[in-house]
Amino acid sequence: MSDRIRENDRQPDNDLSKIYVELAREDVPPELDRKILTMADSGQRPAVIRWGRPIAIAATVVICFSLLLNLAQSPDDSQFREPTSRGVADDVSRSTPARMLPASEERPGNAMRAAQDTAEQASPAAASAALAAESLAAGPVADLEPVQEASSCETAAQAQPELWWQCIAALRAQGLEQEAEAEILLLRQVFPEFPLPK
Amino acid sequence: MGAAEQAIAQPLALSRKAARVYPSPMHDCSDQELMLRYQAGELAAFELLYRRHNTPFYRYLLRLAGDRGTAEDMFQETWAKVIRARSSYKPVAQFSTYLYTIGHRCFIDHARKARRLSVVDPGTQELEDPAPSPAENAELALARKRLDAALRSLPDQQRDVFLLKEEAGLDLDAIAMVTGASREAVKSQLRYATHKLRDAMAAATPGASA
Repeated sequence: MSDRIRENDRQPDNDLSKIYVELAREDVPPELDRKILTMADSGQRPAVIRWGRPIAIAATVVICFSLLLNLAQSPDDSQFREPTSRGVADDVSRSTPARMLPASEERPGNAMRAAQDTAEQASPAAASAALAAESLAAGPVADLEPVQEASSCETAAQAQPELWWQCIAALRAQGLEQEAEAEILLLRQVFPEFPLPK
Repeated sequence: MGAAEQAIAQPLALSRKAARVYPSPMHDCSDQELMLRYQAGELAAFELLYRRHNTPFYRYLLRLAGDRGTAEDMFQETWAKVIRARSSYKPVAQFSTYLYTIGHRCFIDHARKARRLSVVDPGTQELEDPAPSPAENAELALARKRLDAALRSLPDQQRDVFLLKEEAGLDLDAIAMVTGASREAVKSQLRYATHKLRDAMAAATPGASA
């Protein structure tokens, strides 16, 4: 019984489907077909080509931004460094000619020369290190600026803590205890892991 | 046809190894396989897939929206989404289910944008009749108009379910997946739609038997 009802119910459905299939005859407009297929074709282009331009723009923006950031940070960096180095350097440059050196030797790089002399007495290796320190200090010395000539000790120390320590030893040998202490403080700040010799 | 010609005309029986090297002809591929081939970069696979589905899908949208411009917009939008999402496509369901689900959602979005429950205002809008062929008689044209009017008179959900069955050829489970309704609800809507359409067609043709 229920099967017959279901069959009766399905028969008109099938008729309706047949009518619908016969009557529904619209086709897709050819230009719409072309659009879709063109879209599919362009979607197949390699990702490098499709993303090339956006990536290039993004990279340019990132580089510009990092450059600007770098420029913006540079003055702060110099402000941070200059007072300490110049302060110590000024002290050294002011005190060195007055206390220790004869008038004929009032030249830039004297502190380094003294360090070299001291080091030569200690060992050949230390002597070569002192020579290296002097060569490092040679550039700024040539400009004959008081601030720069006194900062030769710092320049050497920035390269190697051992050289800095040699410079400090030279300052001590010249009797410049205050300057030596200031340099030791700086050395500890810059190279905290460096074991200070007794 | 000579024996040599027959031998050439017969397809070569490929060994398993050769079948792996030379993939099967596209016309034998399922929709999912075609989509995967398109994903791998074969445009011809997409063309074949598109040719399989474009007409019924277009008619589905046309009768659902009741407006040619809207239907074309939705048609384009849906295929664009299929193309864009090809890299993430996974053959978890029939491709037709996947396609009609996107189309169905496009219709819902359009309906929401239009800020009305029914995109089609029944009785006020008629689909343009396609250019009649020479063989087409007046009776057929009249029957099409009746069917269009009857379809437009259906509520959106019933029309949607009916079209998904007739145009897409989806079964109840697939229709339920597309519309997000339960299988029983789909079955009920389909029954209502069928009865209404049958009654409407019968009423329009007094001589016809129901």
